[in-house]
Amino acid sequence: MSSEKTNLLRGTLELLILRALSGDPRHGYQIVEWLHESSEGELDLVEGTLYPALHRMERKGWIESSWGTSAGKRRAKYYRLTPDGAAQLESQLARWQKHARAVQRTLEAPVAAGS
Amino acid sequence: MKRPRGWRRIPFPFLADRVRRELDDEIQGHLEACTKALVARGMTPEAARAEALRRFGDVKGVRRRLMRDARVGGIGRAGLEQMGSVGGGFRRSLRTLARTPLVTLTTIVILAIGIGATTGFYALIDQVILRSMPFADPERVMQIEVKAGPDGSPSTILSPGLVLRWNDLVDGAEAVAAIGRETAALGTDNVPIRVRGFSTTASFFDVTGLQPVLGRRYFPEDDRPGAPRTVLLGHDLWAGVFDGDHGVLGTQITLDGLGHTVIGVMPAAAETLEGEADIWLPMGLDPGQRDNVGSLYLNGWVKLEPGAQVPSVIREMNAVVAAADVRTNAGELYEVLLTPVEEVLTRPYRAVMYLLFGATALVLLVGCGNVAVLLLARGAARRRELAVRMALGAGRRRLIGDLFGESLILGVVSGAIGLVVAGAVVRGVQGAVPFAVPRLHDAGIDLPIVAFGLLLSVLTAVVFGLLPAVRATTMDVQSTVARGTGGPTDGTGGRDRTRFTFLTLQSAFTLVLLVLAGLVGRTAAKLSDVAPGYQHEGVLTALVALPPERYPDVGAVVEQYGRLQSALLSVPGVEGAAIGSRVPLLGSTAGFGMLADGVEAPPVNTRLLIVGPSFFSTLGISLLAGREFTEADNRDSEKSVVINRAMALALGFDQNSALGRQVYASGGGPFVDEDGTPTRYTIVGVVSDVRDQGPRQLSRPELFFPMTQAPRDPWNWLGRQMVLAVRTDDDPTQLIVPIARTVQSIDAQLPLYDVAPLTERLRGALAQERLAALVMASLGMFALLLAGAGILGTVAYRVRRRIPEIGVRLALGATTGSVVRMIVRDGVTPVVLGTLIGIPTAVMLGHSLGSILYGVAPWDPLAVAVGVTTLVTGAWLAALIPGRMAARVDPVEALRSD
Repeated sequence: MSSEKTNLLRGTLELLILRALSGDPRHGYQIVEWLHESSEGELDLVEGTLYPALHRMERKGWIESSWGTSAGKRRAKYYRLTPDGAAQLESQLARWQKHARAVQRTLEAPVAAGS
Repeated sequence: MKRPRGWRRIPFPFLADRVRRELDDEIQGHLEACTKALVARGMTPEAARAEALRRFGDVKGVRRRLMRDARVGGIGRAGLEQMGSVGGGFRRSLRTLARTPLVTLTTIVILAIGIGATTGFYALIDQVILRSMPFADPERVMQIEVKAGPDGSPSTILSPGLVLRWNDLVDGAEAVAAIGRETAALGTDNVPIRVRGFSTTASFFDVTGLQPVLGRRYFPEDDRPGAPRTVLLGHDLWAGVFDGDHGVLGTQITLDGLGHTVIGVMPAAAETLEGEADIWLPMGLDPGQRDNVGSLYLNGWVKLEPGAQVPSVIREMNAVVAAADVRTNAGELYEVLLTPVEEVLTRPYRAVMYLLFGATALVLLVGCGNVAVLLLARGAARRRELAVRMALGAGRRRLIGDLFGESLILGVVSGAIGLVVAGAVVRGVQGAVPFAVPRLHDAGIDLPIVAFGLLLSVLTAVVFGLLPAVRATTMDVQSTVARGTGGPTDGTGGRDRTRFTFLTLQSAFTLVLLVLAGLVGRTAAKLSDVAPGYQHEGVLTALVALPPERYPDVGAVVEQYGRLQSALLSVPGVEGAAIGSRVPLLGSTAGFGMLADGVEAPPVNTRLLIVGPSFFSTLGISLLAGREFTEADNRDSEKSVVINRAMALALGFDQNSALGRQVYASGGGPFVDEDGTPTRYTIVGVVSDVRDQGPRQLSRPELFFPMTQAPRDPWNWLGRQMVLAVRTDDDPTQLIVPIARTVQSIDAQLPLYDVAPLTERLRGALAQERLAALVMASLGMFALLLAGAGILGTVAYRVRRRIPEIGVRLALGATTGSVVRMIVRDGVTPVVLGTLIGIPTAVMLGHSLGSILYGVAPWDPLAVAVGVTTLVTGAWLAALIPGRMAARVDPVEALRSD
């Protein structure tokens, strides 16, 4: 198991989930699949850790859930964004992009030699 | 101590189960979906399953963590969306209420007062009237009355002969009990204590089903004449004087100097029957009393056989009366009436209690009108908000749910405050009632009352809150959103009609209250004006009883009372002193059938009193003919009696022709000469009738013996107890100490008790009516205030909406006076309509007050007129305020703003 990958994800997992749910409602495994596909396999997580995050976000009122039937005719719990969640996605996204740009700029900046 | 983990967080196991089930479903679903996807990519099912589990990680750990999180989050939103939405609705409702604090506060205050008063009076009624008596099968326990009065009026006083015969001869009766009041001096180490209670036949325990909490009841063998003297102690006496000592059983106590063995202690519940019940004594009726069917001095209760019908039992009892040939003064056979004892014991207070309870409920209804109008107005103000929410897809049901939630919160909060108000009302009434109403002081706000109050408030709030809610949500969404609020054409006509209806009903209720308050007030005034027939001012009264132990001989009793009277006369400030077995409102009388020589008539059921010299002049009872007793009436002089006017008439005389006539006891009884012939008593005086029981009733036929000549038996019937009455020109309470000292100087062992000015007793006899009048007047005024506020608010609201129209009128030349008149007419119209409904209602309800009213007809024109005038004037004043506001409208301004 790659602990680097999960550590990397921990801070951004909520943001990624919000993004994953910004379209149609998805159940847990669909979120995993979406993460896997849209990151072209780069982002992977211990799938079980997804659920504590989902339930936590639901309690915060960012997402809401309902039971539906999956394509495989199985009962599945679907999550979707609430208006609060949409606002959250927007602000977290902005913060993330700002942060990512800053990191990017920092990484690309010339480094002075010596002291 | 080890606690199961998480027990505190999920109080409901079934909820925890549900959460767990849903988690498992979710995890299972995930694993299956993953496995399926891997199989689709070519893995074997076993390998896919293993890979899915590996990817998921620590299934058990995740599951545990999710469960824990669910607990931390309260009940766990996961499985309980509906609860979440209730919680959210609650928060939304709170926010909404907080947005309009004035409306919320006013609503809560009105409801809390209305509900508090209603609940408080309900608590009193519940305690005094509704809670059942401490009997087994109370519905089968009846009080016996006979129509014994000269006019056939019912009397609760019976003869021992009838009670004994009924007990033996009536098949439909399980048992018949005789009950008499007793007072006695309980011997202690110091001054004896005056105790009160009952003497009953042993069958009393069969009739009531009461059982002693300690020891045993008395049985027929204890109830024979000559049986060893036994006594049951009342619970309070036992707890207070005997320190609740169980060792009291079998000990001897002295009552009026005679030793009695304590055989038991009565339950506290028995105390609630009719006030003080310190002692319970076997009556010891002589079986020979079966023939004493004419002298009435007992109360009787009967317990019907299970399934026995009241009319058939009455028929049987009447047959016994007919066999004994007991007739009224008018020659009619006695007729038996049976009334449930529960009803009898509560009868004196029932009407007033229900009146006040009903009145508070009416005030609550008037208040509800205001609340409804307030919420209606708020509903109108929120039309736009509601319309927007409906347009956004919120269901009508959900909106009504929210409004319902608001009402619920209002109801619960007002109910809670109302319970505090109710407690204050209960304590206030308890403090203001100077007379002893059984069980009144046990009333409090207990669980059933809390339930009543909360139910009432929630019901009120929901009904009157939901009405506007339904109204507010039945609207055309588009037009309301487009138009916003306001404008006279936005379908508010319906709401105006609702307001009009509420104002009309409020006015009607208020008028009912005002008229009833007027009737009760007039009753109280009339009763205060009734001349009682005696002089009460400046008269101090008290009871004293000479115990037989130290005064075994009636001669000694008479002598001692004579000494007492002379001693009282020598107290400085005392203008006159009298001694008698009863003065109005205090003391006791005996009863016997009396006849006059030379008159063919059935015996007159007569109250017997024993009085000393100067009795009538001291109490200001006027002598219509003849003379009163003096020192010259002694043991050796001619046997003389004084009778009252009612007695003279009952014997067939008038006040003058009665003088010199001779009367004697029917059947002789204890009133016989040595040779056994009934003693003849010469009527030497006739006095006027007085209102002996209070201002409502005139006294029945009465016969007064001079102290020196009264035979031994009446003395014993009356417990050798006398009333001392002293008159002064000054404040009679100043005499209390000197009188008590004088009594002590004659006999240091004599307790003086029940000391009070006669004026105070008379006031006490009026207290119920006065209190009712006061409470009714306050309730009427409160309702008027509420109705006035309702009118003011509604008219002001309409004026605001009609400003453009008023502007046009003024611009077209209407005078300000005509505008004011128009506005005021607008406010007063529903009130006038309300009075039209209210007057017949009030008269109808007035009829049901029958037993309360005195000297006033339910349709008393004065009460109705004052009520109508008060209401219409109040309404007019309330409408005038917004009316003047309308008159100040500037036409130019008004037209421009449209």
